[in-house]
Amino acid sequence: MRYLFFLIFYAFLVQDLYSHEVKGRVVFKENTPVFGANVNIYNENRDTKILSTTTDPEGYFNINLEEGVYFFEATYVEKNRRFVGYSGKNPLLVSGSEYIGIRLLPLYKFKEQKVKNNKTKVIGQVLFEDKPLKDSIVYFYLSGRDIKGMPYVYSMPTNKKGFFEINDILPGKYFIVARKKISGSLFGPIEEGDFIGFFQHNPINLEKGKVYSIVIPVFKKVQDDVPIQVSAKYKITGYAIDEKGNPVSGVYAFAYKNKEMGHERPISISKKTKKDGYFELPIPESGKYYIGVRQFYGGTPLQGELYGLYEQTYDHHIYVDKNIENIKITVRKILR
Amino acid sequence: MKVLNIIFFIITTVNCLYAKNLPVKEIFTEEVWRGEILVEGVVAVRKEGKLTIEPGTVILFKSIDIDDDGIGDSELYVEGTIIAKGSKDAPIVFTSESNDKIPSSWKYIMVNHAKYAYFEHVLFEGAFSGLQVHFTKAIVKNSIFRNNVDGFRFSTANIYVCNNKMTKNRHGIRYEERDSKGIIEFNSIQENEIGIFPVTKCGDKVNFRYNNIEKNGYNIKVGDEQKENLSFKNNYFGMIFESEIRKKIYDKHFDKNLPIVNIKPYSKKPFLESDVKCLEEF
Repeated sequence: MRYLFFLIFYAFLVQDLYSHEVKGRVVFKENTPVFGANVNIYNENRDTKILSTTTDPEGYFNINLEEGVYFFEATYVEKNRRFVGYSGKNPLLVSGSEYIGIRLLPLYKFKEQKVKNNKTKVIGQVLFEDKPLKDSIVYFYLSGRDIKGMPYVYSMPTNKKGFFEINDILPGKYFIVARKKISGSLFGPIEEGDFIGFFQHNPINLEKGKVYSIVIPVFKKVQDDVPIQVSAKYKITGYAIDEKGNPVSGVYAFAYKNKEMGHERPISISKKTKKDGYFELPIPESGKYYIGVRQFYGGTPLQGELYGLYEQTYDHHIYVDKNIENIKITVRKILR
Repeated sequence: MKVLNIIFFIITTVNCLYAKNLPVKEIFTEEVWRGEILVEGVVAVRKEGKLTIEPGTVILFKSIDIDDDGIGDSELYVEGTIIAKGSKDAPIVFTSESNDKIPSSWKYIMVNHAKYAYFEHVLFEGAFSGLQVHFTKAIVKNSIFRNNVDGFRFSTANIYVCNNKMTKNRHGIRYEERDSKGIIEFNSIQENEIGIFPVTKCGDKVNFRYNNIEKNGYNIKVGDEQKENLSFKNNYFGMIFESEIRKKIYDKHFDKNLPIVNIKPYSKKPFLESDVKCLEEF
């Protein structure tokens, strides 16, 4: 009996040690939260559902996942109209706590039709807010994991009516993704202002001698997905400025609990600063926090990146036991 | 009750230890060090500060360990400018105040988001890390790193490291290349537990060439998280035959999950003092 108890205790302990918290939010295009949306977590190839949960009145959900690669989807029905949405991070390797944003889009059906020439063809249209999106590229991948790598084939840019076609594609199972990058590049991470959309029936099995007519709705990435403290006890407000004292836009403020910033995920990150350089940094509880500002979210800061640290203490900490207002952080380009 | 007393004692002791603060001295302007300097706690060269250290200066770091982590807490932390230019006859010495000079007696010289760092004819000994450089342009020449856990350590830095000797450290050079650029040449990396330790995110933007990397436990040991193959061409590894050299390079040949360290072409004879040509400008 004692062994059984120990084993159960150990199993819970191990499960706890190896699970990671994934928070997220499901919204409509106007950023209105969706209450009661189903959030489905699949394996990376989206052929096995791992678990499901539903969103709270503010559209948030919170789950624990073991380390692994997952595909995040949300579904919702309103007035007999079905909506579906995917995380732009799909497929996502969860190896620490994560924040997932999902935007719901109307569900579009697809058609298939037999043809005599035994060839396989895909004709499609890319839509943004129900209107054709010109110059987007449609990528065909052989597996879910490949979505962040090289596609098997990709289309020419969509025309004025948002149409594309892929002729004589090899029959088989594909993941289809549409993207339009503002930089004009074909590959690379999705950034603010770029468009991305997943074919809503991924993966699709394309058969020999059939023509498929599909629609891919896309959404515009408005801001990097960042964890925002929803129940902060305090906040630090301030301004990012350059060496001449002018406000700096387009940077995030962050707070770490560890002096060696970057060895762990930040406790809190602000929204990107606008023209006035103003930021608000939610702080969950009183204590010592190490504060800075940087241009990009995630990963090690890069050469040329705008970066700055709170300078009033030599190790850049602020002790927070009340709201701290109007700090100033000077940003400079790294190694420039 | 006795147990409760012991627990209370432990809690009280730990609280007292953490309640102590390290002494901190901050340098906001230009300062020159000469003679013997005792560093007790932290000396921080702030963004607008500049520390110049004259030849022959001995900097002694007091062995204190407030957080009881086994690593001395005294450190020199630089975000401004540091110029430590010794000479062959009068090197600058960074060492422990205690006589034994064992690794981790003091913490490190940390150059982080600094304006500029220059070290020449300097001895770093008995530290956790002799010198760490991050997000900074730094030149390190003609210096010795010995009896440290990490001799020289860097990540995302623009560095030129020439004609130094890394010896009797746990890691002669430990690095996460990330967004670094630079050249590491004509160094003797000998008799360390691990000569060079590429931990993770390393590529080929830092060029290791013309170094004598020999007589270490492993001359190169690739970290578990390193994914890309690495290039260490034109170095001397202490042996003539590749099969012998490979025995001291811990990469895919030892663990199939690790990348490969490419070493060819390699030098079949050591680089001599007469071969050394450090760049004047970098």
